[in-house]
Formats: sequence, structure tokens, C-alpha cells
Amino acid sequence: MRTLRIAVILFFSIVLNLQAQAQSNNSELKIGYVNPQSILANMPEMRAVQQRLQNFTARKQQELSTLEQEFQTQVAEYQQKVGVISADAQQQEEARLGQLQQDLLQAQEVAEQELAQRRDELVGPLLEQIGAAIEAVAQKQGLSYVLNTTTSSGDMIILYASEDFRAKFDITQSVMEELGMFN
Amino acid sequence: MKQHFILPALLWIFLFTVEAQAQVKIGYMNPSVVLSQLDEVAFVDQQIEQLVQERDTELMSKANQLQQDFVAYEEARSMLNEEARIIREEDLLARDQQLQEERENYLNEITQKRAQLLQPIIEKMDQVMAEVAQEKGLDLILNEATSYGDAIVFFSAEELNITQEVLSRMITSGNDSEN
Repeated sequence: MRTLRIAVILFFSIVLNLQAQAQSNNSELKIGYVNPQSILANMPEMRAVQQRLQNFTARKQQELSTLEQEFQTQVAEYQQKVGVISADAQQQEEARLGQLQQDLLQAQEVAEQELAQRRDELVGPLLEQIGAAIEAVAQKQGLSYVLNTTTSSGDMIILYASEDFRAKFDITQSVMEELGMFN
Repeated sequence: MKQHFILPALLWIFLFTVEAQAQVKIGYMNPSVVLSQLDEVAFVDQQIEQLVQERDTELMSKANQLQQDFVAYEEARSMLNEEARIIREEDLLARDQQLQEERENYLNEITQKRAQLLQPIIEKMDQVMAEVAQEKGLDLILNEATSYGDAIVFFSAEELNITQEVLSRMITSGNDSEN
């Protein structure tokens, strides 16, 4: 009888030990995932950011359209006098207008770059906040990995998650809570 | 004595269940490969190709007409008075502008039309993917690559790749719905 009891105790200790091991393996392999773009889109600060970007875009468009009108006017002026000026003068005028057109194209490119830069400046700090909240949630839930669900170009990284897995490891809501978005 | 065996046996079973649950099972697939091999998608692409040709012809004939009108204007210009010139020039510029807008809209229209035609096929693929995942007990399915061709999964055991399984079920269900 005593041998049996010892055997049972031993067995339990092995079971518990293995279970603990299984759990520690489990914690090594705990993978969560998050959709930062949907968090970003829902952040209250985003409204102000978008407004500021829209204002910036409108201002740049205004500047560009002034430049373009100026260019069109000069082209029209040239066309009016083209018949009465010398070949040399024509060549000079055309070179000047060509340069003006180049400048206009360059101004468009610069405006686009400035817009991208402005977006980075405004959205960057929000992304940092999201990053910190993801880390905090991951630590609380003992996750070893947190994957992104979607690339910035809209490609899915995670195509499917089972209902069970989604309920446990989609931390998008928890990250929003961590950011105080439901307060 | 029999009871003493049952208890450990039950515990072993429990232990293995815990262990099995502890493993996250991750599969992967390449949706672009599936889509590229489906007849339904080829049919969508044919429709899109036809639409592209129609729009191309339409825009080309408008562009040619504009070009001809421009040449005619250049030839007639010296005989026109200032007012008539301005009217003709403004008309040509407006038509040129309109043509550019039509070109831009046309590209958007094609992209939207393709997305709209592909939507039911993609929904079906998602459904099949979920079925395969449930049958194989997968928790997650990763995309093998982005649409730009960047790898997300560089290496994994081939048995975790469910692309062919999803493809063959899509083909079978496509044939079933045709019959």
C-alpha cells in the first residue's frame, strides 16, 4: 500500500513538473497580434492631425496653382508675340519657359515630400505611444511576440486567426484600453 | 487495484491535452498563387482587359480629334482676330484638361472594377481557408508574401503550407457550382 502511495505521489510530482514545463514552453511561445493602423485611425488626436494635414495640403495646392497660373500666363504671352520676335529671341523665350516648367514640376515634388515629412512629424509621436502601449500589454499578458496584422500598403500579414486564438491573443482592444481610449 | 491505473491514465491524457494546447499551430499560404490559378480570376481579367481596350480606343480617338483640332487652329491662327483666338485656345485647353481627368478616372475605374469582380472570389477563399485551418487545428495562418512580392515567411515546414489545399478546394467548388 505504501509503495502504491509513493508511486502515486511520485507520479503527481512528475505530472506537475511536466505541466509546469508545458506552461513555461507555452509562455515562450505566446504570440499575440495587433492592428496598429486601426488604433491610429481611432485615436482622438488623429482628428486634429488630419485637419492640420488637410490645411497644409490646401496651402501647398494654393501655392502651386499660383505658380501654374503664372506659367500659363507667360506661355500665352509668348504665343501672342511669337510671330513678331526674332528666331534668337524665340529660342531664349522657349528656354526660359522650359526652365519655368521644370521649376513647377520640382515645386510639385518638393510639396509632396514636405507633406510626407509633415505627416511623419505629426503621426510619429502617436505611433510611439502605440508602440509603448503594445509593449506594456505584451508584458502584462506574458507575450513573447506581437505580430502586426497588416502592412502599411494594406497587405495582410495574418490571413486568419481561429476564434479562440483571436479572443485570447488579438491585443488591439487591450492596447486601445492601455492608451486610455475608452475612458 | 484497477482504479489505481485509471487515475494515472486519466492524468496522462490530461497532461498530453495540456501539452497539445500549449503549442500554437501556425500555417501559411500564398493567396496570390491561389488566385493566379483560378479560372474565375482569368475570366475577371478577360473582362478587365476588354474594358481597358474599350476605354483605350475611346480616349485615343478623343486625343486624335484634339490633336487634329489643334493643328487646324495653328494653321488658321494668323487669319483669326484676337477674340476668336482666345476662344479657340480656351476651348482646346479645356478639352485637354478634360482628357487628362478622364485618363485619371479611367485608371481608378479599372482598379475599382477589378476589386469589385474579385470580391466574391476572395470571400470564398477566406471561407475555404478557415475550413482548412479548422480541420488542421491551425490557430493562425500567415500570408507567405506581400502583394509586392516581399517574403513574410522565409522558411517553414512544407506541411504547414496550405496554399495547394486551398487551391484544390477552390477548383473543386468552382467545378461543383458550374455543374
